[in-house]
Amino acid sequence: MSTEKAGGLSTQISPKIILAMKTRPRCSLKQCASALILTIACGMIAFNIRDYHRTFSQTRQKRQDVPYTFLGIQFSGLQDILTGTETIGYLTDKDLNAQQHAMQFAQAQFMLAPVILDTNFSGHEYILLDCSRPDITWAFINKFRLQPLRRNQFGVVLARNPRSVKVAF
Amino acid sequence: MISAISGFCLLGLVLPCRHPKDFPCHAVLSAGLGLGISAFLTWTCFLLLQQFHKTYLISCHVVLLLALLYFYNKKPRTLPGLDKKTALDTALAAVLLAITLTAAWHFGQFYPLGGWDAWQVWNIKAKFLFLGGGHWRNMLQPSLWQTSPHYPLLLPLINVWGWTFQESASPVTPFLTAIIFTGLTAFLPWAILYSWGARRGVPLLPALLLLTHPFFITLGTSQYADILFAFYLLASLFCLLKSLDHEHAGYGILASLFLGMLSFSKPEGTLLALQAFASTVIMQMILPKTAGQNTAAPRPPWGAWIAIFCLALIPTIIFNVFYSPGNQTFINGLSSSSHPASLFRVKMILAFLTVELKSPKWNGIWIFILSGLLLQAPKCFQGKWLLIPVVLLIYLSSVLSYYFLNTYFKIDWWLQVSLHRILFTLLPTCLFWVFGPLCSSRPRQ
Repeated sequence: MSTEKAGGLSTQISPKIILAMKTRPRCSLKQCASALILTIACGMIAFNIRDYHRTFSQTRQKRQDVPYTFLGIQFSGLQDILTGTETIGYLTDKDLNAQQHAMQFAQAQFMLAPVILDTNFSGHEYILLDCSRPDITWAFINKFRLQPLRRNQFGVVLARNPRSVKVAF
Repeated sequence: MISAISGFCLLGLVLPCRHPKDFPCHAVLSAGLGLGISAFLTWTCFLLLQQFHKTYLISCHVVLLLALLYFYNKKPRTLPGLDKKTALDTALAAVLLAITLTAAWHFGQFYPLGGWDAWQVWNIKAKFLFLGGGHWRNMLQPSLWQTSPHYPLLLPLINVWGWTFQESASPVTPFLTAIIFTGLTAFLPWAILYSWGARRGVPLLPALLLLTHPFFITLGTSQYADILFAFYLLASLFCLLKSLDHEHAGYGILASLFLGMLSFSKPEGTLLALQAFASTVIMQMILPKTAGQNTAAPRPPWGAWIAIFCLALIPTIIFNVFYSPGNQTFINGLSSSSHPASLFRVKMILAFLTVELKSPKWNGIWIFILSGLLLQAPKCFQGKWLLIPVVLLIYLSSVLSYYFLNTYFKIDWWLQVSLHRILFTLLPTCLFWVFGPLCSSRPRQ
């Protein structure tokens, strides 16, 4: 029994017998699949954020412990002399087959680009001496009668080769 | 900005923006299109003048921009005004994506010079182009085989264009390029799905899945050409899908342009561009027109499509024919007696692929994609959507065959350093493939 107020008067409404329950339409398989995909995606985003935060913190900690180093930086401070030069010789006592030294050579190539480093050094006007000890560098300079032009703060020496083809002519 | 405005004008000429909801999609595509065109213009500088020339490059851009603005204004195209809801949705998405992109920016700062291949393959070429004067071709010497001199130059040329307004080859520009393309690649699925009228939250899911994924961000900000490849692949496949719908002839033209850029990004891009174009042409002929399609739409202008596709391929063809020294790291395993391609390689490739797909570094995203595709199997593999599996399967099988055929490298090392990057390039497209059918059925209001 329910009471409805209309125009200030209350009227009696006879109860109705509900024969059929009004139900929501059942989700189709397609909708269930879509809902499942969307739910998993949301879960994955939450997991990603947590993992991202962890990775970020770890990397930041790693960088604080060991700052980012680029081995090629050892070859900086020589570029101005090499303006216009296409290829220079690269003379070293290090084993370029060893991973560390090969890496250093590759990074030196990047730092000095567009100048190309050639391990077959003898014919070039400029020679870059990258040795493990200063005395070896000086030994090379004396042996090949090179004229040292500049030594950067990392001990890498740029020398001129007076017997190169370009200098000779 | 110059590139983005040029791209927007060109896009507006090819494909008018007819609905407010198309605007974000047009904006994202414009930025990618504009940067690609800038790279092509920079390439003409080296082809015509044989060296980097700042004045020529800026003049070219100014002339192009003025010409595009002239044609754009010649036939007045009123941009659809952003209604309040679209503006709010776009702002919300932009803020969310900007926050995640800022996190990516900070993450990328840990590696300011990018990954190993970033400086050894891509940025070194950009330096040769920018600083090398008339000697830039030295970078193509076979002796520099470690820098992969046969790789095409889209990314280095974009970086050179970025350096045009600077005095030095600053490492900030390649980093910015990587961040921009990471943002565009993540933003594009959102913009596409949003333009299809999906509910507010749904289009954001693939974008957030990408931008919160630590491994995606690591590779995206590594300054590799892979992020460009991922963007242009998704952009071209989206346009090809739209062209299959016969919605507007402009989509076909746009797809051709994006495929041209894809082909200039990496060697495998050329292969993918050709097969994607061929697959679309075949599907265009095979697929019957469904009831929902615009039956009154004219037949696609095949001539214009093919002409523009060939035009967009010209930079790649010129590079490969006249400049590339050829692949210095290739041994045909089928004919070589010293490095034969054995059954062991096949086993290794398949095992590595399986291991990679379920590797914890991907946070289960490939399992999610495969499950998503299975759950919506009929929808994802029918009609126009069939284009994506066709293109991806042919591409993936070609790449795996190449791993088998080329025995120059030890297979375990090679797979270890490169397979995850192949998968990375396919990730945005695969996510779009999962979420696209979910949203495409909803009619736009």
